[in-house]
Amino acid sequence: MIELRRVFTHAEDIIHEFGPPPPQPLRRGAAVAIIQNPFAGRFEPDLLPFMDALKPLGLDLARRLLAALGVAAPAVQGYGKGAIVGSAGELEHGALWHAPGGYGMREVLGDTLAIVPSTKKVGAPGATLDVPLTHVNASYVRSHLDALEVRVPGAPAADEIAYILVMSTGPRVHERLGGLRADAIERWDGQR
Amino acid sequence: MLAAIRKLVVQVDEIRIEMGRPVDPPTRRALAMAVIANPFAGRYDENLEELITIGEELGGLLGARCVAALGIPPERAESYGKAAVVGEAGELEHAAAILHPRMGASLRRAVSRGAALVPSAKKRGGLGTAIDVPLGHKDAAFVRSHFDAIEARIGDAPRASEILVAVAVTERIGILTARHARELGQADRVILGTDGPAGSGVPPLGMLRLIALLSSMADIPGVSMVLIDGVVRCHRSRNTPPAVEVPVLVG
Repeated sequence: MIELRRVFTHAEDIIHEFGPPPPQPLRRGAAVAIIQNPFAGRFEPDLLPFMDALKPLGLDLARRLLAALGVAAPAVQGYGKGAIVGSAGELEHGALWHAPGGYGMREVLGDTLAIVPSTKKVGAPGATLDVPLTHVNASYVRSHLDALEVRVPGAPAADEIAYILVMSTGPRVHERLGGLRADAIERWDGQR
Repeated sequence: MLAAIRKLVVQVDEIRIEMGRPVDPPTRRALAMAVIANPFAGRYDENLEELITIGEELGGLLGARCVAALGIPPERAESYGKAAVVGEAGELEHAAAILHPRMGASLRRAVSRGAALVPSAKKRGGLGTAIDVPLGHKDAAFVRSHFDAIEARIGDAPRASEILVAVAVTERIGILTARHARELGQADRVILGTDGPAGSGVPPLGMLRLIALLSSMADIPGVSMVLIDGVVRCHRSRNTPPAVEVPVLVG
């Protein structure tokens, strides 16, 4: 059911952003699956079976991203997800990713508590998507509120969808705005 | 390290289906990029030695990052390319200093040899400027199947006083091609070629190595005919095991 056309991975080390370099560079990354959109060019009322079919892709993409980052699951401190739907599709086709992408990534990372923040749009080949990142256990951890710009040259074509997962291994490289600290999470309710 | 690196980015692009046709095994292309401070930003200098050294460093570093991202030993790298985007406070010659004098040698060490020119591109640009990094076969510049390009871009680079440097490497397909030919029972259709600069002795050594590598997948190689410039120079070798099939000239 899933026609996987292309897999794109991105990993980056931010050594500094014109301030004092932290002891460890910040490593962030994205994995993108470009699939054929089975609903391109038509209105399909029943999307739920496809959402189930995407579950293995969520797991696979999360594992590929860990491999691209070269880290084990416990090293991941922030995450997010997104989708870019090609021009012959609709935003709802991107929304299909919420469950399989979010739960897939949380399953691979272990018992993370926070909702996986997300964004989506309909876009042309090479469109950029700013995917939000938050702390994996508490959405309000201010140092980990971040975003990663994701873009795959040449994709998605009109009949394709780009499903995206992003992860980071730490806070923003020069974070200094206070708020809830990662080591001060209290409620363990996924938010604070 | 002389290069003041702000950011390192590594991407892998794996193509599994193109125009409805499965690509099996998938094509894998890696791109490694470094964002560095331009030591000559805002001023003219006759001597760009510092950037030449930085280019040498980055050829090795980015080449190694590509090979690592592909998860292959260096000798399986198949094609390569390089590019640079100079921020607004720099000049195009700064990109040239990084790319041309010494980057090629260190990149070749990272990908294990490379007889062919490393194709390149350069431009001046701002934040998010995309550059198409040309790709060519690393041992033979005229291999048409390997003429390719991969787009390099970083959203927040280069700042005016920075330079974005990119190296691209793709995975070797020689072994895979040989395997497919064998599965089809058409191993005799595999042709190896090189057009790397002659005279150094490196291309013939590379060819011998490749012949030995591919032959070892099946059996001990036997020389059954040698043609040079279309002329049969000798037939079966007495120094290798007898070939199972004797080739015949048909045209």
